[in-house]
Amino acid sequence: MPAPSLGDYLALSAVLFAIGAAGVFVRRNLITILLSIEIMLNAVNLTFVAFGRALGSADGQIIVFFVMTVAAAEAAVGLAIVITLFRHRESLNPDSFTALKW
Amino acid sequence: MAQAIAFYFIAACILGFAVLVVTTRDTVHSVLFLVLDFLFVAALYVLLGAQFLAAIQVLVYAGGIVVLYLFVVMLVNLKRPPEAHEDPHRRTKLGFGLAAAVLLELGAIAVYGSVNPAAPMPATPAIPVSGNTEQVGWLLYTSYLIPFEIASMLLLVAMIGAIVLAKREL
Amino acid sequence: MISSLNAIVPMLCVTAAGLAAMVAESFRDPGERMPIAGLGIVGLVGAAVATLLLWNHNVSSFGVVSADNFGLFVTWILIIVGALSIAFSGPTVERERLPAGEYYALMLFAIAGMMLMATASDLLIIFLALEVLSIAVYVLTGIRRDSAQASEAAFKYFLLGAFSSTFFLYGIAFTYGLTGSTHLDRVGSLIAAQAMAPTPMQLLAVGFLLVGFAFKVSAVPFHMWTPDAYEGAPPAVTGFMSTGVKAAAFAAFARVFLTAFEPLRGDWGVILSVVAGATMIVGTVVGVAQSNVKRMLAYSSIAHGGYLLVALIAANDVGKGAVLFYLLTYAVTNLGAFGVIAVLDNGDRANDRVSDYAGLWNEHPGLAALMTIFLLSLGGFPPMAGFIAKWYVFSAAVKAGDNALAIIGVLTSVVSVFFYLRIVVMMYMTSSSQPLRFPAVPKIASVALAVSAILIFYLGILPTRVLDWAAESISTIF
Repeated sequence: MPAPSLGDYLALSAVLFAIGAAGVFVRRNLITILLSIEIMLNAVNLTFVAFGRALGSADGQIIVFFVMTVAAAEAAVGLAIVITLFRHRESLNPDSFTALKW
Repeated sequence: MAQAIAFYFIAACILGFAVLVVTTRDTVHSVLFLVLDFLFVAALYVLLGAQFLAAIQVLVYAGGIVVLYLFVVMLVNLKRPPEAHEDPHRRTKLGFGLAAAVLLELGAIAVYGSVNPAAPMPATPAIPVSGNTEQVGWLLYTSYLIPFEIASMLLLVAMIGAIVLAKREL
Repeated sequence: MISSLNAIVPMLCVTAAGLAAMVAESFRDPGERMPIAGLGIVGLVGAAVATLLLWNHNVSSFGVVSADNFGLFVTWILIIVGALSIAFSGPTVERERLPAGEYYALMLFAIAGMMLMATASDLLIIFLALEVLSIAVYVLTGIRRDSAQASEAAFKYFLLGAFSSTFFLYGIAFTYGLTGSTHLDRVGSLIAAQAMAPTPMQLLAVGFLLVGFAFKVSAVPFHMWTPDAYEGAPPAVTGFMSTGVKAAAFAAFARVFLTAFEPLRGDWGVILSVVAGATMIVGTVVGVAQSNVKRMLAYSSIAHGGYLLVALIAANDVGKGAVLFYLLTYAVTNLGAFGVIAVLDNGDRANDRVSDYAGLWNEHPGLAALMTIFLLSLGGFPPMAGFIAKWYVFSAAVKAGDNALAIIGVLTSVVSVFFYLRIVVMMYMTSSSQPLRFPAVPKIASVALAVSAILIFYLGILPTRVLDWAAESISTIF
C-alpha cells in the first residue's frame, strides 16, 4: 500500500466539501445547515494543509489558522441570528419562514 | 505502509461522521458527530505534520465552536420560551453553590500552598524549541502581522454583533 | 516600521472612530442623546485626508495592502457611501430605538473592511476583509431584533454569505496550491509563466473564486438572497450594503481578475459574459413585477451589477475608467434613493409600497423631486450621471466587440425605465387618500439628499474630470 499522496488528500477534502454542500441543500434544520457549512470549511482547511505540505511551506497552516478565526466569528454571529429568529418563530425549519420567500 | 493504513482509516472515519452529521435527525447527535469528525480531521493534521493546527483544531473547533452550537441547540430546543424557566430561587441556589465551590477551592489551594511551599515551576513549557509550532509562530508575527490584526478586528466585530443580536435588553 | 503602516491609515481612522463610538456608547445613560454619528463623520474625514495625502504615492504596507490610486479611488467612493449612510441612519436609529453606539460602530467597521478589501493585494487579506464587512453587515441587517422579517432576512443573508465564502476560500486554496502563494503579484506572474493551455486546477481556482465574487455582487444565478435581505434590513442599511458592499466587492473582483488572473481572461471572460447577460435580464424583468419599492430597487441593483460586470469584461481603453465611474455614480444615486425611502419610513408604516408614494408631490414636493432625480439617474436619463456611466460602459462593450452584451444592456435599460417611471407617475399623477402619513424630514438627511442630487448633476453634466481620474487610477493596476 503506497503512502497517501497529495491527490488522495485533495480527493478526501473534495468529497468532504461535497458532503457539506449537499447538507446545506438537503437539510431543513437551520442548525444542521450551519454544521454542514462547518464541514465545508474543514474540507477547505484540509486542502490548505495538504497543499502546504506538498509545497513544503508553513503558509498553508497559517491560512488555516485564520480560517478557524473566521469560522469562530461566523459561528458566533450565525448562532446569534438563530436565537433572534427562534424568538420570533419557535421553529428551526426554514419552511416556517413567512415574512420572506425562501 | 503504516501511514497509508492510518490515512485510509482516518479518511473513512471523517467521511462517515460527516455523512452522519448531515443525515442524523436529532440535532444534538448531529453536533456530537461533528465533534468526532473534527477530532479525526485533527488526527489527519498530525499525519500531515501540522501538530500546532491539530491542537488548535481540538481546542477551537471541537472545544469552542461546537460547544457553542451545543449551547444554542439546548437553548432553542426548550419546549417553553426561556422566560418561563427563570426561577429566582433556583438561580440564587445555583449562585450560592458556585460561590461555595469557589470558596472551597480557594481554601484548598491556600491550605495546600502552606503545607507544600516552594515547588518551583519548570522554566520552559513543554514545546519543541525548533518545530512546527515555532515555525508557525514566527510566520504569524512577522509576514502575517496584518492578517493577524485584521483577524482580531474580525473577532471584535463578531463579538459586538453577537451581543447586539442575542442580548435580551440593551 | 511605522512608515510601512501608511497604506492602512484610512482604515485605521475609520476603525478608531468605530472604537470611539463603542466607548461613547458605554458611557451613555439610557435615553441620553449623544452625537455618536458625529464621531463616525470625524473618522471618515480623517480617512479622506489620509487618502488625499496617499494619492499618487503608491505605498504598500507589508506588501499585502497597496494604497495605489485604484484602491484610493474606491476608498473615496466608500467614504462618500459611509458619510451619506450615516446621515440617513439618524432617523431610523432614533425611531426604532436601535443601540446607537453598536449600530454606528458596526457600520464603521464594515467601512474599514470595505476599504481594506479595495486596497488588498493578497487573497488572504481580501478574504479576511470580506468577512469583516460581511459579518458587520449581517448584523446590521438583523439589527431590528423585534422584527421577524429582519431576523429572517439576516439569517438568509448570513447563510448564503457563509456558504459562498467557503467557495471563495476553496478557490483561494487551489490558487495557493497552484502557485504556492496568495499574493496577487506572485500568483499573476506564476500563472502567466505556466503553460498556455489552462490546467484543470487553474480552471477550478478561477471557477470557485468567480462563484464567491458572484454571490457578493449578487450576480445571477447567485442573487437569491438580495431581494429578501434588502427588504428586511432598515432602509439606511439597505442603501449602505447595496452600494458599499458592491463597491468593495467589485474593486477586489477587478483587482483579482484583471491582474492575477488576466492570463486566463479567455476562459473567465466567456463565463462572465453569460453571467452578466443573465444578471441584466433577470434583474430587469423580475424588477418590473415588484410592488414593493425596496424589492424593486433590489432587482434594479442586481441589474446594475450586470452593467458593472459588462464594464469589467470590456476593460479596454474606454472601459477601464468606466468601472470606477459607474461605481461612483451608482453609489451616489442608489444611496440617494434609499435615503428617500429611509426618510419616508415612519415606524408604524414602512411606506415602502409603490402605492404608498401616491401624492408624495403634494405633501413633500422637495422629496418627490429628489426621488425623481435619483430614479431617472438609475434609469439612465441624459442630464443625470447614470446616463454618462451607462454610455461609457456600453461604448466600451461595443469597442471590445461584445455587441450582444451592449444590446442586452441597452434593451434592459429601456425596460427598466418603465419601473422607475411607475414610481414617478405615482408621486405626481395620483393623489393620496390619507394625508400626512409621512414624517417630517430631518435636517441632516435632507442636506445629504441634496448633496447626492448635486453630485448626480455634476457627474452627469461635467463628467470629464472625474472620468479622467477614474481612468488614471485604474491604470495603476493594469
